[in-house]
Amino acid sequence: MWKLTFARTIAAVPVIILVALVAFMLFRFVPVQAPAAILGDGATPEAVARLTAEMGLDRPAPVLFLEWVGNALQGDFGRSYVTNLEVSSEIAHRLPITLTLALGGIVIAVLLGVPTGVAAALYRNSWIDRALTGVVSVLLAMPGFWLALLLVLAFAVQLRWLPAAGYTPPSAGLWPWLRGFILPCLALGLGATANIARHTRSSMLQQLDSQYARALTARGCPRGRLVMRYCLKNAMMPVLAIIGMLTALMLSGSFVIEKVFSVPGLGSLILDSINRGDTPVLQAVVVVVAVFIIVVNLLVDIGYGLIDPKVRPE
Amino acid sequence: MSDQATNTLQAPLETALADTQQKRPAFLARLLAQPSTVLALFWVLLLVVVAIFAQYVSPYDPNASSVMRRLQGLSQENLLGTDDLGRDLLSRAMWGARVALLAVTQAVLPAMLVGVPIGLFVAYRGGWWDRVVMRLVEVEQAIPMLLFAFTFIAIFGRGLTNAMLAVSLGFAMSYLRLTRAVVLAERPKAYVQAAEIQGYSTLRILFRHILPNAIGPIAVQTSILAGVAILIEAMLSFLGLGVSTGSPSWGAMLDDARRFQIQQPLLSLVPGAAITLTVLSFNLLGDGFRDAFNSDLIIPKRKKGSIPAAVAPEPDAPLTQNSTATSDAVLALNNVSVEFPSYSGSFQRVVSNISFSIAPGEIYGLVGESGSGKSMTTSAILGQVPKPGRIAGGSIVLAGRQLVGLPERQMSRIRGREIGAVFQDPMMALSPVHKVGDQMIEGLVRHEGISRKQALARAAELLDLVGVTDARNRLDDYPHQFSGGMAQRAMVAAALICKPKLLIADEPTTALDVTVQKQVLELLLQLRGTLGMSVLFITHDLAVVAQLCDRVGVMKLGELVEEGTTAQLFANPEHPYTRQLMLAREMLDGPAGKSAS
Repeated sequence: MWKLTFARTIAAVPVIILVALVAFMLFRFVPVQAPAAILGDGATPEAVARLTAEMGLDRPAPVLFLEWVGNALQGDFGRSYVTNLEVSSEIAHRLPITLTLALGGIVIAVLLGVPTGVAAALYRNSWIDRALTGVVSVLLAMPGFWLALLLVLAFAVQLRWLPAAGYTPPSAGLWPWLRGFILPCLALGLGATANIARHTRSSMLQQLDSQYARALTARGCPRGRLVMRYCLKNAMMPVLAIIGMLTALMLSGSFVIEKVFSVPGLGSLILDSINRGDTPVLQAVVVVVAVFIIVVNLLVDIGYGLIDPKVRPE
Repeated sequence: MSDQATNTLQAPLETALADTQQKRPAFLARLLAQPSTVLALFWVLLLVVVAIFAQYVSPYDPNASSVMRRLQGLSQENLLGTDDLGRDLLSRAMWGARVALLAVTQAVLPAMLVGVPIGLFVAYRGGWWDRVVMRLVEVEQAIPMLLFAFTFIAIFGRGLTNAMLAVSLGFAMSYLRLTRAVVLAERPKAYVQAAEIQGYSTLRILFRHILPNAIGPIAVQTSILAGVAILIEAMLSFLGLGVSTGSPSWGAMLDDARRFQIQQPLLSLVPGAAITLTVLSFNLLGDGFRDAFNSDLIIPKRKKGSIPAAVAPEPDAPLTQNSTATSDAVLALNNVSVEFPSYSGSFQRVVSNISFSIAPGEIYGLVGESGSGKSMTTSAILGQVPKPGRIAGGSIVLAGRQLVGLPERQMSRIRGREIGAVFQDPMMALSPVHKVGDQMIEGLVRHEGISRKQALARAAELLDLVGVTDARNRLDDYPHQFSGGMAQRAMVAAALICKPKLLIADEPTTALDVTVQKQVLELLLQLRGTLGMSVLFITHDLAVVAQLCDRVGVMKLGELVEEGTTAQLFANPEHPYTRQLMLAREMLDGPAGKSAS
């Protein structure tokens, strides 16, 4: 198991380097170049050229890239062109909030989605199946941020159970902190729930119709045990890949949900940076997101190792 | 094997299919037969009309504000209310449809035009082209679409077209993958090779011969991607990265709603419902296309009450002439029928009026070509006829106990304890991610209520008995660590673990190598000697029958056409079909019985 984990981790390194290179290259072409962004609309070309030289941006691209990678490896992503704050500390403040949202969302999605899918499969073609499939179809078509608005209307405005917006730091206590995350995580997770439920259902149906299920039943294995112990584990193999994909999507989904709830995560940082051409921030965010996705894929691979004996080295 | 000589004789399942093919309506008719698809199609068409003629059908200018009439509810003047600037929500939603459909067109059309030809090309060429392009596709698909759009917007500036360009690039990758998969599936087929031999140009083969096969999947994909495009457009406009500020877009309307929905919920309900309905419609259309293209898979909805309840066994049903049922039979079938609903809704019999019985210690062979209903007969005995099929009548008596109509709870106590079963492919009959030992003892633990440890000890004994060496350690192995022959031995051991009176062996040697087949057959004969159980042996192989069975029944088209002792049947086959079967066998392998390998 450890060997597998180690091998996969090593294999991820070149991918991260590649992503870093691409991130760097891309933003070299941003039409709004940094000095112009800093000086604003009225800047003369001479002033822009002077600032470019001052910032050392007139040096060749490979030098800049190596310098950037060298600093990035030490956790230094430079300073924001706009706020002049350190990018790394800015990200360090915001990333935990976005991560909490994303992980909360996927945990809700798995906890609700898998049982829903299993139930629909077990009662296939019954009214239970039809009702669940109907709800799933609607959830799949709903934009997460509209769902968020509806949740706010229902639970914050009408029922007044939960806050409509804002972020409470954990220092204020566990419950106040957690309360603020319930609606955003639900809004983020329900779409993924539908996705997982749909895939679990079809995967489970396949397993229920499988030869081994028939053989186990023919030997007298009780239905409940067949479903929970045998079919579920087999059915989870394709669903695991879907869960990985959805987890990767959670991060960008969270950027949108953060806006609805005015949560100070990575989302607002990115939007501001896009609007202002704040290259150092964007480069850093791309790398952070890429690393997150790579870690998720690594976990999925390890998950496969846990389920499938063929992947597990002896 | 025998199928070639007897291909004029159609099996019931095949005739059922041929039956459905005649009644199969054309694609459009099939599509329109699905109510949800019709509704979805209606909504999308309505949207297209509204989008094109927005300036004529919308009651107001979408940007005409009126401070006096801000945040109105439903009214005569403003059917769906007004927003914070007093603009008519219905009009804005109608103009929003134009933005949404424009986004769909911008995202889907270029993607299709680029992705499909490249997919055709790389799949047909293969080699380095394929490898390099697929690597790029994988990298691109690993990046969330929204982030990709962010990057594009950061580089090329804000705007719907730039955003949709990024989305389009992502969509092109998924068209590429899809087309590639279809080509890879079609390429080895005979018609492509025939076209190649004809000397047609690559382009002609790709576009005239292979592409038509991809149209179905592409239509399904297009419909689903259209929904995705709408969601992404809405998301980007909501974030202020899509349409320019103030333009009517569903996403931008939801951004306004964010601030004012507490005062007027319609602000969020109108655009939100528009997005959801549209995306749902595109998804339903995709499902509808898929179902209409694979129409064989549709099982018609049964009308309530149109199916008579399964017939209860008649207690004193007369035994048919070729039944030799005696009161001490281990298993006695009397007039058993199994039926499935066909496309037209009527029921089609795949097993009809079968009667036979098996004496203690007897090996009874059931032969017939594939589709003759022999495996369905075993399913009936085990109470495993897959839905929506059912036992239509007759009685199945196991050691004096009626099995037809027995509740599932009681049936599950008989399976594994009184009837053991071995199936065709041992590798398929084992869950690949569970230990073989654990799978062997599931029934035993339940039937005899012993501990797993005791059960595993018994499993080891039986594995040893069926000739698996190092039995105790092999219990902890996974199926992929077993060879096919060893796995089938393990399945035989598992079937016998509760010492059942009857072993059903459903083509247990078909999936195995010839040498291994022989070993398994010898094992069965030997076990019958030591354990004394009866065996119902299903096969299409007459040589195996001659070698193994005491008595034989021949099945054709779901009916038992002839029955007798093995010697009788081989010396003097009475039914023309039996003779045909033996003739076919001799033509291929020499006289039956002597050719036993």
